[in-house]
Amino acid sequence: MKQLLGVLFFAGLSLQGLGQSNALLEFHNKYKDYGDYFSFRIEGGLLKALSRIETDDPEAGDFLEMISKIDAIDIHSIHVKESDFGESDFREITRKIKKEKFEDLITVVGEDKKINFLVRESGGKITDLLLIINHPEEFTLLNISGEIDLSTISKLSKCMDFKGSGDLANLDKE
Amino acid sequence: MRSLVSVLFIMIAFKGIAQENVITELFREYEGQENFTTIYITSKMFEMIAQIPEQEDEEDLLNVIRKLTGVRVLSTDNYEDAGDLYQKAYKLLPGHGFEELMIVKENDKETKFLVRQNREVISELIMLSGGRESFSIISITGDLRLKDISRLSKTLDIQGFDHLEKVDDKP
Repeated sequence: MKQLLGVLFFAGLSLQGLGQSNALLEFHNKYKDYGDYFSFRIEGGLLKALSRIETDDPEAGDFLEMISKIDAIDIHSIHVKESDFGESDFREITRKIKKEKFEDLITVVGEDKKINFLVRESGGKITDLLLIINHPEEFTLLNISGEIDLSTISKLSKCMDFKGSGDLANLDKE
Repeated sequence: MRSLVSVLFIMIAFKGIAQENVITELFREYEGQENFTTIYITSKMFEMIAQIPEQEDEEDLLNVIRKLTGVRVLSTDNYEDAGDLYQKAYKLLPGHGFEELMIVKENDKETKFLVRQNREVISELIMLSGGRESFSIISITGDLRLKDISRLSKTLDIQGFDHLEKVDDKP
């Protein structure tokens, strides 16, 4: 009996580790059939494989070591008008995400776009980093799960050319 | 007697809330308007920055960062009525427990630093700045001392903030 419980417990834990946020999955399921829904997932395996590339450049080495700790990068993006994604949908998904223990780090509101940068922790370690970009044309969710530290993210965002992610490049200065 | 004390406490609490509202309302009013940008940084962010390793040599700065509970920024650099907005914001603050710390005038631009203070402890620092078409208000909340603010100003890369560097040299 004890063994069974142990197995169940560990299976539960590992499943939790693997699965992405329910709110994101729900979003994916709701919008996946729309024509211009864009979804992209980089699995940790690929990143780990990448991280084995040998390099002499210390900066690249840092970067590779850092990405080897990432379990997955998920990007979901929809065209706001064609998917009929409105303000209430935005509020709904934000509410659901907050319910899953994501906490606000930074919110930026411009005249037409809103960017939320959230984090989820477990046992004092960051397990997920989520960027929500609400732009009048495009709504994007970018989730990075795995063992993450903040200095990592600031390095990563310099490498990624993403609408709004440039705001993150200044993070470690503050 | 007891009820009098509790009434007093409630009044003080309300006063605190009212102070919070002035700036919050100002932010709410201009958030999302054309050419305006607002930024909110939560205490969680500072908690996490303080956890980043590899910066032991900046222990004193990390101690200041740990004390921060939030940073809010409202800014525009292309707004016709920037001057009026500056005056409006400035008039709002002194009535709500803020005291002026410093005024800096450069060309057509004016920057004011205000603090809300209880004895030694500064609970909020405001940097208010206005020019011909530019306006910005930065609110930093936390449990700060004057020397913490001076330490912060050396690090934060915020235009105008460097004026505060020497602030703790004063008696």
